[in-house]
Amino acid sequence: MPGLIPWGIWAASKATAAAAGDYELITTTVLGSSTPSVTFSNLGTVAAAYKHLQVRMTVRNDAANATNYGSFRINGDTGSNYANHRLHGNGSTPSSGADSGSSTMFIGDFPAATNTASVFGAMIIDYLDFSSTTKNKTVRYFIGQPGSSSSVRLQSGLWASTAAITSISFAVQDGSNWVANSRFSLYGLRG
Amino acid sequence: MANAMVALANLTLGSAQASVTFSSIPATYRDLRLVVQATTSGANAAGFTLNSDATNANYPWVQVFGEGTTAVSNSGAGASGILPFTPNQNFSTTVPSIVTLDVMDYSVTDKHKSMLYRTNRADAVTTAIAARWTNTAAVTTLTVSAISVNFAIGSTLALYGIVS
Repeated sequence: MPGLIPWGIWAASKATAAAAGDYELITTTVLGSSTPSVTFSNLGTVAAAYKHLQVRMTVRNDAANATNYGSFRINGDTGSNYANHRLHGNGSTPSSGADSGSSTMFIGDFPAATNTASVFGAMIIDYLDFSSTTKNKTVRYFIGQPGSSSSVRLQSGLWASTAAITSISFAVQDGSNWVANSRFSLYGLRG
Repeated sequence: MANAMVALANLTLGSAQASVTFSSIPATYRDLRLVVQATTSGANAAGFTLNSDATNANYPWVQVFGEGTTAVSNSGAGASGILPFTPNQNFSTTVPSIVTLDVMDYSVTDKHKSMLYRTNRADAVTTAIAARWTNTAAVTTLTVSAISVNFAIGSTLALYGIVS
């Protein structure tokens, strides 16, 4: 006999109103039209209560390919201060790669213009101890693009700076646009 | 601010059963997270469906995984009417498999549903999977199923909603 848990039962037993907690939404951006970059800014203020940050994204871009790479910069830093290591699967060959001395943080490939309609890539990324002024900043992320030219990645990244993170900007690597309905949500985790 | 992740259901099986259905999931949240720790009554596959859609072709996936030797990447679609948690491994009768699944944008109607999940069976495999439900409908039902076997007593399943 299958177990069945209808919402009505949850409502009676579980669905207490969301209380203030340790994992909280800071802001969400859902694009109404194509745009080349999305920035979470003023983090020293809006995220001051938190120890770590998480970004959850479902995105697509308009490059004239099946997929195209995304990237982000922290605090607008265009210096050669980004590095990453990654484990990647494309459905046939596993691979491991790395970049160092990069001017942006590479975050993998997302569906683009010729990919299957309505397919958006997903990414969950954690920025650990983002407000520390004594440590270089490390991030980790999990990315999937389950459309045509599919891929999945586990990745770690380094921003070689001890400055507190005050802004994060996501862009499509060749200057293409994130398309409408792409979603970027920023969460804070209390320490 | 309100907690962004809310427990919708959390259960520990008191009897063996082949499936658990979370139904009438409200559109209140943006993402769903499912956390499973389970063993099964026999070695066989386990996985899930969305909105009771058992059409294998509607669940393409790609994974990278390791079974203790060389890393592997492959891709496929659903099998036996489910999207498997570990496409290359069965669930075990003795070693719990641990699944953490994120269904992104489950409540919107303008996207196929992209999913990211990690499954670990400590004696056999660790895997990272990206999958998709090829449908733009909002997800209202998530059914976790084992094929031809039961989830064992003590298996745990928890479903969370994440706001945006």
